[in-house]
Amino acid sequence: MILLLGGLGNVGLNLASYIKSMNIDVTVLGRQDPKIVKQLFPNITYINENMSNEGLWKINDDYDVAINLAYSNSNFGNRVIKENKIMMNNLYKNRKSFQRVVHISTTAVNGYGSNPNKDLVNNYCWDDFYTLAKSVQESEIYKYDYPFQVIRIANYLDKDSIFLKSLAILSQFEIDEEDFNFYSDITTTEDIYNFITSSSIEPLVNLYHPLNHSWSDLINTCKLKWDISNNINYDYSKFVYTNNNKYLIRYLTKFIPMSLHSRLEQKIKKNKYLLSLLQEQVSHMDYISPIYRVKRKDSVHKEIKISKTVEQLISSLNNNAENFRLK
Amino acid sequence: MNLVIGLGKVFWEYYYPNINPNNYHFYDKNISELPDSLTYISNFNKILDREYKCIFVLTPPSTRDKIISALHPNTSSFYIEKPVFTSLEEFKRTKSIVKEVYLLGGHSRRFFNNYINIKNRILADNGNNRITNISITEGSIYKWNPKIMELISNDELSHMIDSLLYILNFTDKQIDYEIKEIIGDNISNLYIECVVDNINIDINFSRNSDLINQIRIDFDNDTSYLLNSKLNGSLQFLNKNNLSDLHTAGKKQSSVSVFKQIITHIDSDSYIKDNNYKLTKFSNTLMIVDNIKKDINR
Repeated sequence: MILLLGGLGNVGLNLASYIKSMNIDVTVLGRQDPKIVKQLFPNITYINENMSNEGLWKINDDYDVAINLAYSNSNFGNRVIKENKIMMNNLYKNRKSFQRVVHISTTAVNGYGSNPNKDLVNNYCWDDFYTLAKSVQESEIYKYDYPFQVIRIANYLDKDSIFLKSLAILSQFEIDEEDFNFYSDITTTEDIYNFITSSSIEPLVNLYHPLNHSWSDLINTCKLKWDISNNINYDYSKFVYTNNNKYLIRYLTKFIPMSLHSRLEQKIKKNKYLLSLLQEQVSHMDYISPIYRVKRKDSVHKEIKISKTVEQLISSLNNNAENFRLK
Repeated sequence: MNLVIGLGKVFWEYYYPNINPNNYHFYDKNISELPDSLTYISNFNKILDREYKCIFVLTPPSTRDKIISALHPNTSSFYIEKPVFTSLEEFKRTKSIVKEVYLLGGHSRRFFNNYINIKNRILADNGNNRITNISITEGSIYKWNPKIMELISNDELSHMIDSLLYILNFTDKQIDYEIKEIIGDNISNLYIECVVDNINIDINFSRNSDLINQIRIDFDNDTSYLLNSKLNGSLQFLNKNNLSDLHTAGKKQSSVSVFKQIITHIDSDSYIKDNNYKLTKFSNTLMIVDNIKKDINR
């Protein structure tokens, strides 16, 4: 039996469905009201529990593996740090309910586009609040030597993932392959499943192949496999590098006491100039920006071809890609 | 002096940052868990003997007609959060009681610059090119945690129908409409096909999967507008295979600043002579939503 902690996000929902398809019992634990979860995801076995709650969680069964996908987000950086520390400490206190804890992290814990470290990080990453939360969690594991295995997923590709959206939009345009000739660093649900069900005892794994295919190869494969692809031409070059100032508040609040946070938030919301700094234009083409955000500088080995497994995954996502059809 | 009734998340997220608390009274029947930063009224009788310029009604939809019926002698206008009323019949009944009072519908998307932009472009075209089809898709994993989850037809659908009528300038026009097909459980997904004034319209909304957030308007000359329906969403023009960005979506807005515009609009009494936002005109939205609900229940 597998328990997915915080499994109502994109990775969690895909993973739950995959594990179930392999005839393994899977339960999701999360903060969302159980009535709502039942209505929206009737096939999920669900436990309502807030991982930030101290004390023992209401978990009746013993699970072989607990997979921790949960993280705490907030409007302010200091709160993200505090709550994720509490969450990891609570997971440690509840560890006896599970034979093994696999903690899911991200290869971006050292910053988007960095080459993944082979050790746990012991510093906070402020690229955004997701990387901040995940770097805090890794730091806690490092600091207190929690007995959790850590797997870092890279660019997650499955149903409704941000990279699926990027590919769905890009597969509708003619692209200049050189613009996308960098490593795609894909992690699939199957990769995660294979690790969980393996007997690996490695404390830390970066879950993607270091020499892998490029985004342009992936886009071309999608074009071949997906009905959504047609010959719409679009100049996407001006969207390649964007300055996203939306998250400035996160850097500001790193140095500001918690007691001032709510007042600061209200002040910023009342100030036109500050507000405009915190806003970013939303566009259909925003869907492709995640690809550029994770761009590594390493040059791609052209001989690396897309595996049959990834090709099959792309084929299976044909209907999902249709949800992002421009016309 | 104005009054706000219903001090839930909507109030704190969107209204509170924009108002001067000295010019408002704040009422909620349960004030025990509210922050100390404001002074509240929890006794309804205490607001019954006061005069207000505008009363903002932010309570659940089923409570609004009673609140308006009770408080209409005390104010000249009500601003009511979407979906405004639970039915067209309820609106007509309430309006007949409060004839002298303005009832303003809280459809905030009417203040989105990208919606105003596409509306103006369609108006400027002046019917030279006929709209043949409109396709609306919106969807993401539901992240709210309300006490009661409303049906899509009682919640997000009114946003989508109202935005559509607003863009087409059908807000206060007499319209023909026919509901063709409805699929979905109305909790997680809803798909609707209808015809409004000879335009084929399909609406696809999901709370448990991601869809592209887009309103696509097709013309008979084989061109289309693609509007990203989020706040500050881009507007693109598709001519055969050429997609171009229309860089005129207007000034960037935040969800908070949209409410600032709404409050300024109400404070300055602009709704009385309003030819743009037409906040008093929401009965067509209620009429279409009503008929969709009837078809769902059939």
